[in-house]
Amino acid sequence: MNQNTTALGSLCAAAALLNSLAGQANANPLTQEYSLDYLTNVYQEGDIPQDKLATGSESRYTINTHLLMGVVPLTEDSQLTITGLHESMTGASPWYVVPGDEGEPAQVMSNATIDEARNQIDLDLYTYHDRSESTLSLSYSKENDYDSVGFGYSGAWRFNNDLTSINFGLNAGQDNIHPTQDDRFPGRVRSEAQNRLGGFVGVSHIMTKNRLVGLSLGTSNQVGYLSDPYKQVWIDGSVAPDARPDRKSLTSLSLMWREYLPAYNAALHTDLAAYQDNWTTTAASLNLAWHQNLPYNWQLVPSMRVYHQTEAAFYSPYYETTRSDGYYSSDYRLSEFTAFSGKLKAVWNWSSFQVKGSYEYYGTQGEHPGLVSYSLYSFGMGATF
Amino acid sequence: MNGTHLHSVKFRAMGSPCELIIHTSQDAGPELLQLARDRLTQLEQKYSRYRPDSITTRINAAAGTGETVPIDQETLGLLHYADSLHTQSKGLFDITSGVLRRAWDFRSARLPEPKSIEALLPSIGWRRVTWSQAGISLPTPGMELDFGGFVKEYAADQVAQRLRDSGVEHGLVNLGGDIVVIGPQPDGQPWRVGIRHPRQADTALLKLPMTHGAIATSGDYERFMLIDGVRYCHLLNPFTGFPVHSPFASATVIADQCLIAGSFSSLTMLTAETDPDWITRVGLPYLLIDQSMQVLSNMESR
Amino acid sequence: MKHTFWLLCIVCVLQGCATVEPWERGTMAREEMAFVPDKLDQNFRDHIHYSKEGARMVGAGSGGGCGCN
Repeated sequence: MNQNTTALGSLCAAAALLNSLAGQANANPLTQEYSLDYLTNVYQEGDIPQDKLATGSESRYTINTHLLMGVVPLTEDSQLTITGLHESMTGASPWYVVPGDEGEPAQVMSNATIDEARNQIDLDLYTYHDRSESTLSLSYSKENDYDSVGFGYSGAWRFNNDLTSINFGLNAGQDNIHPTQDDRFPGRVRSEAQNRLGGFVGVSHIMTKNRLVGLSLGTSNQVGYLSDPYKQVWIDGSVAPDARPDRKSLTSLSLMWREYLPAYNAALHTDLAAYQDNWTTTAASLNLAWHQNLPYNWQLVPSMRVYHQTEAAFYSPYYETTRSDGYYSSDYRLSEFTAFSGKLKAVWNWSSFQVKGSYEYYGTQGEHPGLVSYSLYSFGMGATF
Repeated sequence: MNGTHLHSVKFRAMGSPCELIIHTSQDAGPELLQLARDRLTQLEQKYSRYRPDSITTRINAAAGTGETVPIDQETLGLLHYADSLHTQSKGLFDITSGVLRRAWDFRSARLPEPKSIEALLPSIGWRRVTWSQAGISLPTPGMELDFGGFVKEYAADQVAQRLRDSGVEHGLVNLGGDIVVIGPQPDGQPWRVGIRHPRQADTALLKLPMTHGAIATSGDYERFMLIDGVRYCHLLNPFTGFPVHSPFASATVIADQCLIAGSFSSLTMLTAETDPDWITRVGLPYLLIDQSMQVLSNMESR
Repeated sequence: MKHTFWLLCIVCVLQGCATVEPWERGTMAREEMAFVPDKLDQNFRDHIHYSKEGARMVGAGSGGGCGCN
């Protein structure tokens, strides 16, 4: 009796082993194809409402971005991705906040229209092995007053029949700031730098044939000049430079859930993230995206995002009195606010050619008068060959 | 699922008539069928005894030379599977028994000389083969490996897998009667898989509805000769060198994988001479047709 | 060979019934089942978010740039 159930078990195990070995033999994790992708974005910030503006320009930033990404297979199991970015920015930016007639905060904006450009290049060397993969990244970004270099290494180790993977990474970088001087703000710094060092560990697991889940924990330390040289604060009638602590430690936790729904031929993406830093800002975000496959090789992706953060310990829109620790910032990025955004993306594939377009609206709610809202228009195309 | 179209192709591969049927979008169909056939061609080229550049030919050519022929992961998996088959069948399924083909010519209508069979028996014996991750070496000249006993079933699984990986949800792979079903038909109806009448070619004795999984049949009608009313078929006992006399004309087994279905249908035929109830203790759905064309099955009547 | 076999057995036990066989993983190969299906788009969006918001999620990559205004 036992003999034959053993026969079935033994042959099923041998067949499973054969399949996993054949899978390795046929695994083509790298497609060995060249690809080229182009993406252009128009980012337009909404005007600042008249009732929240003290003085200065009401129109804010517009950024035009061009991105070009090329993938070059190097060997059978490695490839190089080169990404270039050029963006030009124009508009006015928030300087500081003053109390209005009834104590309500009002934004002081810069007057002059700023014209700036930023260029960035990223290199990613990706290698694939039987049980692991790794990526080495280099990044360099340059603006007239700001340059940044970054280095990253990330790896993944697959086990449990390739069902589970442990992911980890380290990244480090240095930013150098040499702000444009302005006679109106004589105290502005001349040349400063900040360093960052961070890392993450994560796990991802194929739970069912239609479900992929990942969890990631990251931490990062920033040391050096972490203030914004162009921002000022209003302290009891006088204006002083933005001054933040020179050390920031942050921790983030992300959960990524991908569920394929065969009945709809669609995939639901759920991303949850939580964040905390030692400036007492805590934040959480939820991102939902529905990837709907449609006839004639169309794909429609509606998505929405909600984000909330609490304010930093030393933040205030303006200060009635001085602080004993000497830290001041009225940057809206450090205030408490909630952001909502909705996005619709359409993708069309034709043979090895792809065209895509998207529109996104991002709005914010909070007490800071300078909180940003924006519209983002994107158009992209790509080809593999 | 709107917008799916039926695409099918019939061709010969691995010495058998084959058919692929898929329901997919108008554009993707031909490309997917080609993708599936590419995988089949790849396996045929890799394991065919008839091709001078196949791994099987290379291994057989090195028999008795002491040379260890290096093998890839997939071949290692197949050898490990053959080893399991040998163990589970107590040696009745032996991938070195193909040499008996030299004595048995089923088109000759003549029994081979017992001497010629005796001369071949020393060349049979999987246990004497040295194999590992590093490679394989056949110990004596004239020894031969033959993956033919299960590579077609394995190929059916691989072809079906390639189609599933490409998003095919409704399809059928038929490699000479080794069948894998990829989901039901687009309208939700099962595929109706015919079981051949063992004594009447091209006639289905009955049809089985299938929505998933694989089905394989082993029969005494594939290659045989009748001499003085006795049927000598291609299923040879590696210990005696003579055909098994199975009480069954054919054995059909259903499993998730064609490789499993095919192995158990072959083992049913090989073991039936001494243990006709063997398959009833395995735990897989089976359908046996005995020599008087009576059907014995553990499946509910359909 | 034996080791691989036993490893396979242990892994089977550890996974219990939840195993997804290699031949069942076609769906995972779909572009829309990737954690990040459109890397270029995602990186750009991440850059906007971290330059307009206080939080910066730590993950792979090394990107830079100020984004301050």
